[in-house]
Amino acid sequence: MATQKQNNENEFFSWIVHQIRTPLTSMRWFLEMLLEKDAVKFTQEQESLLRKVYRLNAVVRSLVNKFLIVNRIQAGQLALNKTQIDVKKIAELALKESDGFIEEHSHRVKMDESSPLPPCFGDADMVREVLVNLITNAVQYSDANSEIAISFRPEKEFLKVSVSNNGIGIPEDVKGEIFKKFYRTPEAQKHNPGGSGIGLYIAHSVMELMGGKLWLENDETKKTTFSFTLPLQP
Amino acid sequence: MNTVKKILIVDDDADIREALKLKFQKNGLEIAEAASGDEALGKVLTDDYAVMLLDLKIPGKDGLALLQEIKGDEKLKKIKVIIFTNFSSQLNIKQALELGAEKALLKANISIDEIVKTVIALISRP
Repeated sequence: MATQKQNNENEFFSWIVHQIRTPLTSMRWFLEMLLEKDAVKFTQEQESLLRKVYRLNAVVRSLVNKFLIVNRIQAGQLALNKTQIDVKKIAELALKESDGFIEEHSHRVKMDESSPLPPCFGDADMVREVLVNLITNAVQYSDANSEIAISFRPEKEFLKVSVSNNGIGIPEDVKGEIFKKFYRTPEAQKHNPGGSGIGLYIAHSVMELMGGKLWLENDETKKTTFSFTLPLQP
Repeated sequence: MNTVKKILIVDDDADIREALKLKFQKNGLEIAEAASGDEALGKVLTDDYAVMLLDLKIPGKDGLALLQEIKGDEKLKKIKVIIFTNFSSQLNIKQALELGAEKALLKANISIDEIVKTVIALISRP
């Protein structure tokens, strides 16, 4: 049971998030209108700079979302809206949201288009958040022009979703650490000094709260696969 | 198809209203704005609207109270209401959907194109 003090702190935190999100939202929409095809004639350099601003706006929006989710997980107040979901559609939305990142790093994304999948259950917003995190991680921690693969496979009473890259890899001895809050491998810190170290903590916690799980599958090469499962029944 | 196509944007943030106004007008949609719950109520009582984009945290009569009033009124309840918030309190969203809102969208997570698509789909729906 949350104390009055905790409730006041959570309320204050939600207020801060709201105050930051509002200008970020209008900034995003004005940028989208500027960057619409044929809306305004920019030089290549101007357009490239505007796209960077748009990507940075997305980075801050994502950080604010993450802080809010961490705050709620810690307070035991992360409310999940579990419904029947189409995970492939959610993956398409997550890819669209990660477009800027993928394009900037010149990656290719191969999404499994095989047979129709059974519906599964989860919170659509949280599954999208987890997928955006796994996709942007896969992009950030691999070389430009490489391939990111997203695959789906029904397994007994679960649907398994995997995101793979060929990147910097995760050493065997830190596999147990990577889902801890703020933990970042030394290689990840070198590769991307600005990372927050909370994305995988959130993804792991949220999947457990949804009745599934998330784990890392490493092989001997630099291929890294993060997989999660979602239940096929409510 | 609904013959009324006017959209009412209810939000206390002027930049949010301006961005939406520009985008909707570019797509040939007629819009009106209100910065508070009381102003919005005045507008729906004097003009017809097909869709209302309603922020929950607005001055005066708040979003949930306004929604309750609209859905409890025989003449006004046909207005399709989209809850449009940046607070993301699951409790408020659940209440809003129970009161008759069509959808609840988190402003920060949706592109302006998706908003237009969602509104056009709602206007086209009988």
